[in-house]
Amino acid sequence: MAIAPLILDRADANVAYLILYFVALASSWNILSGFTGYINFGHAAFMGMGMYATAISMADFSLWWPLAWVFGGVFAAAFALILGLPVLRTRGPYFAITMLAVAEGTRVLLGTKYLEPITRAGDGISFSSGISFQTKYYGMLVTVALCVWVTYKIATSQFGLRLLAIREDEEAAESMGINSTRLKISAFVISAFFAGLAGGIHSTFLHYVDPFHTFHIQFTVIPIVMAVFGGVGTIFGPVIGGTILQILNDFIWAHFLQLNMAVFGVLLAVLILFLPQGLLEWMKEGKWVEKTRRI
Amino acid sequence: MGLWHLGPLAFPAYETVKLLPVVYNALIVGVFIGSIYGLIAVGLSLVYGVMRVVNISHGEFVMLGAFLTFFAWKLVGINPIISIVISLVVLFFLGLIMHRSLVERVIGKPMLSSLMLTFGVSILIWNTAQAVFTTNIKAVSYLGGSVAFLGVNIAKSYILGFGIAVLLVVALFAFLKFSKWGKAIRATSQNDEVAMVCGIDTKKVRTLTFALGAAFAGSAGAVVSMTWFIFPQMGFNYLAKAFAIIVLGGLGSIPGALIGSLIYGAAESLAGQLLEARMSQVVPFVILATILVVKPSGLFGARER
Repeated sequence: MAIAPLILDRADANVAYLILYFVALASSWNILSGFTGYINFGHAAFMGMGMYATAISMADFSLWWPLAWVFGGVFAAAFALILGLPVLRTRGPYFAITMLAVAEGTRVLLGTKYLEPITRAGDGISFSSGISFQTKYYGMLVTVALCVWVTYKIATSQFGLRLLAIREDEEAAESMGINSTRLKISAFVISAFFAGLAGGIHSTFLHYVDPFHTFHIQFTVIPIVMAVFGGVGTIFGPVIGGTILQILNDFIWAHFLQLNMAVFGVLLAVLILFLPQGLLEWMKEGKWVEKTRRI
Repeated sequence: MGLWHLGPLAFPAYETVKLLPVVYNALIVGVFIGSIYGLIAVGLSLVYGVMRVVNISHGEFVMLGAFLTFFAWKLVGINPIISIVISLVVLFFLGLIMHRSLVERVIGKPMLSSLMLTFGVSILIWNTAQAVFTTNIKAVSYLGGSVAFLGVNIAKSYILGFGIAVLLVVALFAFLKFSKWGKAIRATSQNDEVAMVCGIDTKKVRTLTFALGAAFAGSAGAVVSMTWFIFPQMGFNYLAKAFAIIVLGGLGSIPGALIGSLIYGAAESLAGQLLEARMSQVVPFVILATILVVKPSGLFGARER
């Protein structure tokens, strides 16, 4: 992947870039939902916040692009911190649907006249980033690498074990002296940071943000299907799932443009029914890859 | 940016007097809107109570009921009021099939499974609907005009919706209270293991409940098609509303869902009148967030484990 933009033509390099982008989304989704079992149906909100933060900081304040990218991540993380305090008090279906409503609510909010001076409402923001494709590509590659590294660090730390304890039984975990609220919010913020960072980079790739495309539900659905396909709560599951499914996604876009989301809907249902553990666990059970400590 | 960007809220003292009739109107209209939402919320709550599944595709059932009514009216010329019954029956059987083939397989599994499964079905239905029905906004222009009620002009379709909602909810209560299957549903809802020990076929009860939930959503969809615009992606809006309502009333509680729907309808109607019309879409989120901060298990709900 590291030399892809140098050897591939632009169209194939685009595909490689989008693979990285979706892997970043799936992998960051996995940090909260995979480890704690809190199913986030509003991941697009963090990605979208990052996109808007980067776009506005570049278009209106002509911020230097690396700072604008990081600002996208930081802004999304700050949003998650404020949001997490009330939202992470909820559990199970309450949390899932609240997050679905958060994504929809942010989309509507950014399109209202109240925020028009900042967000240009429905018109969206066009801007020119002035950076080369290769820079964006490597930016996304670094994001993915960082995200996977952080996931690895979490999975092998006490922090990760505590998050898993929350997934298994939150009340038991709390009675063992785990401050579940603080841990969940930390995971939420980290997850949002990477989604925002990836979104920020992607906004410079698109040169355009608007509420409809930025908060489109596909940016929640596709990463979830990818993570489930690869293996929820694993380190490399979202990477494998993201890579395979983005190649599939490219094919779907080319052949079933109108039904592309339906294909992912069916895929999600089929995965939940027949491969709930994900590809990685399935391969371990079939001794295709070496069995390690299950996380 | 000046203060006028904030609308009437910027001048509370001056606007208060002028606002009173607006508030009164909004509250009356809210009761009618709320009753239609109540019809949707009751089904969602019933299903959750019996099988601990939050059906993410519930909103899509509303959409299907609405489009069924629209096409029956447009293509075949069937009276939309008759379509309420048709939608009810069709969605009942759709719910039956969906539960038997899909949902029953994830009963008793972690919440993740049922959420993801119904989420997948929801995406499948709306995206297919987009491809088949196109994304154009449609409406059944059947009951135009309005009548005066307590000094407020109410659209006739709201009154029809209110009537249908009352009729169906009373029927549901009678069914749950007096019929054999209704008692079985209540027993399963209270404790499915004990119900099974008592000789209740809980699998059949779950299927019946899911089908009933879908039927209520479908009939609500028929009413919605006469009341508001319909489009393939509308399902999510109604899911969010219904969910906010059952959180208000406590998951699984049907009286709670009814009270919640009236509060919700009033809140949404007020937000639409006092702020921008589009802000009414943010209402479910604001209500959810507020309640969950104050009481994470809903206003009338017991603590969820």
